[in-house]
Amino acid sequence: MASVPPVPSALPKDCPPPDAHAVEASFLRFVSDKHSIGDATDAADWILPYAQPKSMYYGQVEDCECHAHSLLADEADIAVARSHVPLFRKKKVATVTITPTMGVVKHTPEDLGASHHDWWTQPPGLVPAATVTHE
Amino acid sequence: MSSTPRAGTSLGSGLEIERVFFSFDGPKLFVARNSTGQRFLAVAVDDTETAVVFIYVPVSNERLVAIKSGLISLREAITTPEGELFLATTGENATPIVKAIDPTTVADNWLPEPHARLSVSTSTQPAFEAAGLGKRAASETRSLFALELDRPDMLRTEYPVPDLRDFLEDIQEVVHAIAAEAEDKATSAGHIPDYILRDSELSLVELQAASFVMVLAPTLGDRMVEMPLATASAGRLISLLEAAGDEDVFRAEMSTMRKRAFAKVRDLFEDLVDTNVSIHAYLALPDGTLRHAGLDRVDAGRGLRILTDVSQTKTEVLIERSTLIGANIRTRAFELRDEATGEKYAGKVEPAALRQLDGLQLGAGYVYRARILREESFGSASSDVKITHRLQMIRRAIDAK
Repeated sequence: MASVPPVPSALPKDCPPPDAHAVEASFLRFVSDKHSIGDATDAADWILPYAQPKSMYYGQVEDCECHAHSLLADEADIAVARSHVPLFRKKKVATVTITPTMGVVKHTPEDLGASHHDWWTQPPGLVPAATVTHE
Repeated sequence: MSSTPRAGTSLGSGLEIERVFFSFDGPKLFVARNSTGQRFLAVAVDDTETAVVFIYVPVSNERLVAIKSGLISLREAITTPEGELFLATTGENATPIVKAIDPTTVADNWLPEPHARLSVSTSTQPAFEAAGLGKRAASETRSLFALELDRPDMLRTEYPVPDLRDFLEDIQEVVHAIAAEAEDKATSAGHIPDYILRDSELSLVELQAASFVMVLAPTLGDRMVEMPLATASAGRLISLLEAAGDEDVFRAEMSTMRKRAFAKVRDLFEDLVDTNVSIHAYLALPDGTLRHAGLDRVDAGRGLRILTDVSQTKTEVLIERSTLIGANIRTRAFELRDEATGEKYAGKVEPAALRQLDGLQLGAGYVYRARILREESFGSASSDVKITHRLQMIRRAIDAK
């Protein structure tokens, strides 16, 4: 299992962006295919892009979006992502409930995922409690 | 923008991401371009503990437009590439791989689903934005009327000419008929006065994506300012589309409408139902005001049933023995002859009867029982009464119950 790399001492300037806001809501996230339904996710599922060695964003500590987790609010977007991007067909999906103390989110719609959100956790590097809910 | 996978010589140098279609913790479906201008469509197909695996497909400008507009599916883009297909990996701790692969060897679980197509704005047509229509109307100091058509079998900014001709004619005829009512010149038949036809005429200004948006405006001709009649009539049409979502409100709205306009609205709803279209209509006024109404397929079907229920110009014709002279499932056209009277009927087939029609034999020796809805309608520019027929049911005579 991959270990979580050290969290930088500070986020980039003006990060999170001012239009990110606190919410109380549930979101979906693609996680490792090694999980089963009902499993809790683990730290490896919550490695930020700047710290994920296999990510294109690896090492980009100055880029604010590389400090945010991708989430989807709409289950339909999970199906769209899976039909268009084969990588996601093998992934499991976890549900995470975010409360205002857990950071801020920003709606960042994609061509293929209108419900895409970026989540800057509080504290940075937080590994939240989340459960695998979808095959 | 982020860096791309470590590219070897196969993908060229200076590879940069140009357009991302889906990003989840980093781009997973995107277009990249190398220093020589060669573009690649890239899609993440797999990963391991240490690397993400992408397929890179070289694409020409024309091919990219076709992929972005949905003309070519993502799967087709990979299985029938214009050039060599490449496998590439990202991963700081992984051995970088960039290698050419045979498109016929790509495993099915590495291919997008057959139905997966993009539908994003391409350079062929600008993407429609409602707010932009309001701003444009204000800057051009004229009204703009946009009609967005969503048809499940249409994935691109293209539309069959016969269907588009019928739809545009329906819209113009409704606007003319409503304008005649607004001018207190409504008649059931006969021509509409020329000045009303002129002042309520619409012009096609532009086509936009997606999937198919027409921007119309009152015809200016040699006038310097637009006449208000077309805009007011388009506004009434928006109100009708709004009302169609509620049965009682729609009945009340249509009950105030005179015979000609009623028939024209019914023609419009028939076309929407026949072609399985959802419609969004937007009216932007020069002061920047924007009105919108949407009508999905369910609302259109319910609206048409109400219009048929209360129509005063319809007659149902039940033919016990008829011969099918011609039928075209694609164009939904039919022609049949009543064996008892020799009278011929031709027109459109209603969606429910299309399945019944499929596979039926034409010509003598095959006798069918049919139900036809006969409707009178009235042209705007002549006193002719037009009779239209819609085939509602057709069965073999021996099977008819």
